[in-house]
Formats: sequence, C-alpha cells, structure tokens
Amino acid sequence: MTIALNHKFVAKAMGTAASLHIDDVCDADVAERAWRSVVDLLWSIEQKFSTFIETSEISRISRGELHLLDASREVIEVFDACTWLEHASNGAFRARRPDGTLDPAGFVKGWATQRASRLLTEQGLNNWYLSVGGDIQTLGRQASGELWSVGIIDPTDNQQVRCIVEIPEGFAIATSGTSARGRHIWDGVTDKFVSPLLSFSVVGPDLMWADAFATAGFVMGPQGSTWVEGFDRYQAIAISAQG
Amino acid sequence: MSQNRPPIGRQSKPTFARQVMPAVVLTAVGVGFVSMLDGATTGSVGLTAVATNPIVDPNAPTTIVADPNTTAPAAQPTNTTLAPTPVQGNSAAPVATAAPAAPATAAPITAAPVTAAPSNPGACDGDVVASPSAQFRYGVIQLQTQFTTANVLCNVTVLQFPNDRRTSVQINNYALPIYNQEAVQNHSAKIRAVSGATYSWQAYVAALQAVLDSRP
Repeated sequence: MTIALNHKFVAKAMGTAASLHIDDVCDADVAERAWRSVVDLLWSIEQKFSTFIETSEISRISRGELHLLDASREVIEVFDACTWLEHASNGAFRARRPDGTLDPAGFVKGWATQRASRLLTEQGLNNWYLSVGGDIQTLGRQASGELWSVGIIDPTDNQQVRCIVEIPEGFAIATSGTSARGRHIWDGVTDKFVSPLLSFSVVGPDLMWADAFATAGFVMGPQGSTWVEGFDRYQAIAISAQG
Repeated sequence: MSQNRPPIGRQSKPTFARQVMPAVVLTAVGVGFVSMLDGATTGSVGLTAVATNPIVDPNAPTTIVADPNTTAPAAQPTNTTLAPTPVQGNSAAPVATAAPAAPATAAPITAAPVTAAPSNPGACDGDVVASPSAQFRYGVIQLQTQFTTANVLCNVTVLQFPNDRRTSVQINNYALPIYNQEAVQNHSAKIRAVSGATYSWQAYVAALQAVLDSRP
C-alpha cells in the first residue's frame, strides 16, 4: 500500500505517446492497475484499426478480405460515426484517403482515448487526464483544486506553448494542424492538403467528437469555428498566421 | 462524461487568475484615477501607468474585465507616472478638489469620490483621456478612460494590447478561460498537459509533455 496524491504514467501507444496523470489520493496499485487497463485497451484497438498492421480489420477490409458488415462491433461503430461526420461536415471530414483506401485514423484516436478513459471512471478515479498524442480527456480537477490547464502547442514552433486553456470539469480538448507529423490531414472536398489555419483546437464534453470536429474544422478553415460552435457545448480555438 | 465533484476535503476554488485579476486591474484603475484627481489640482493631469502585473502576471488573461463588485486586495501597480494624451473633448483638466487617497484595495468604480456634482453627474459623457502607450516587456498597452462631468471614472477601454506575434489566436467564444502567450512564457509550471497536432512518439520523447510528466 502506497497512498499518493499524484500518479503519472507514460507509454507508447497508437504510434504516439499516451500519458495519464491521476490527481486522486489513492493507492499506487490502484492507479497502476487503471493505467494498465488503459494501455491494454489502446493496444487492442490499435490491432483492429491500424493501417500499418497487416492483420488489422481495417487492412483486411481495404484489401477486400473482410466485408464491413462482417467486421467487429467496434469497427462498425467507428464507420457509423465517420459516415455521420462526413455528412455533418459537408465532406470536410473523411475516413478515406484520396486513393480510396479506408483510414479512419482521424477518428479512432479520439474515440479510443475516450473509451479508455471510461475505464478510469469505472475504477473509481475522479480526477485525472488522459492524453494520447495530444488528444486529452479530463475528469475533475487538479489536486490543487484548479481546473486542468492544457497548453496548445505553437504551430510554428512545437517546442513552445502558444496559449493555455483551462478545461471545464469533465471536458476534453483535441487539436488538429500541420505541425507535428507533417500534413496528415487532407481536405475531403478538394482532395488537397490545405488549410489557411495553422492549428485548430476544439474543447467539449466528449473527446471522440472534439477530435473529429477539430479535424473537420481545420479543413473548413475560418468557417470551422462557426460550424463547431453549432454543436452544444463545443468551442473552437483557431490559430492562424497573422490572424 | 459525468462531471464529478472533487473528493471530500479538496476545495474546488476559483482559479488564482479569477481571484486576483479583477483586483489587479481595479487597483491599477483606482490608482490611476486618484493620481489623475491629484494632478488636476495642479493643472497637470497625471495618470499612473497601468500596472505591468496584467502582463507578467502568471495567470493574466488577455481580456481585461473590470468587475466592480470585486474588492480583493491586489498587488501594487508600478509608480511610473506618465502624462496622458487628451483624445477628444475638453483638453483642460477636470476641476476637482483633492480626492482622498484611495486605499490599496480597489474601491468599486462607482464609489469614487464626487465633489460638487454638476447637473447630470450620471452620464458617461465627460472627458476622454487616453493613457500613453507604454512599452512593456511583451508589447504595448494603452488604455482609454472616460469620466462623467462629475469627474467619476465611468469607462475604461483597451486601445492597444500586445499582439505582435507571428501567430495570433482567434478566440470566438470567451466562455473559456484562455491565457495568452505572454502569460505562458513565465509560467509553464501551470500547464499540466499539452495539445497540438498529433505528435509522433519520437517527437514526444524530446518534447514538452515529457517534461510535464517528469515534474514532481
């Protein structure tokens, strides 16, 4: 039994870094167990969805070896959501590459992180944040009583933070942009990798939607903020050059 | 997500910024006002420079909101006195007897001392006085103040605020507390996590979140 106020974990997951900070007063074993369940779930989702894994369901569907209707419940759920998002965003969000191959990666990370974060709640933890590659779901507050404070990376210099956002209790934040892994977002409408924005963040209650709205809003450009804020309790923070 | 309250024994208090910022701003405004009234008797109006605190304050938000109901103690503004630039209206200093010295704690704006009230003391249509542009560490800040004919400060407008960065943040909804870069640079300790376009594991290891994870 080691009771502590602060528990921090980092691991490689889904091609990026997963990081969990727990600010509950609890046994280190409880925190450790919760973290392990998160990592396990992220790993199993990656096995299903990664386009880099030959045996993943997504890869098999792309090769025509598996029909979408025969896929697992999770895959169908993700494609349901992606289809809705394509319509809701007028095509700005897309789960397909320009060459037609399936790639729901723009949705899966946020969706997986939110699912994993549910495990933390189920294990009785009330004050934490879980970040997977900068997509962050929070619950409660910091041990100091303050809201979780998240820095948004400066899109022109990824060693700098451009601004700090205090995340309302239980809310999530996700950011899309061109900076970190090259231009990994394509415009579903024009098939080109362009946006007048440098970075687009969305804050809202559910990470799966915040992440997807950030992806679509970034592609939409200046109209993205208005679109995002049409959804109840979701807010956008756009960073543009010389805005 | 359910929005659970923190566990028993932990206080959910307003942030440091929310507690202190209105007071800092009001103190600056209050001292500036008193300074102006003092100067009026000698014919030259002095306006105390707006405190540098809003800029170097770790938690300073980019919007200055004067809350007349807040009377919390606040840090002293700097004593630099700068001559104001009349913008419009009567350039002569408003006539007023010496105002009592204001305490360090900011008084509500409406409670500022009034002497010899003219016909319509309530209307905010008196002198408009702009503070000089003051160069601070992170840029230029300039405020414009307006007084009623009874010489009561009734309006403060931000004319300039540091905004000379290569990138600018458009914030379309002020419901979120968002602190700008000026506050960030001094207090990365406040940040618990970072969000950006998805970073690779390799980039992560060398990056900011790794630092945040390693902090005590």
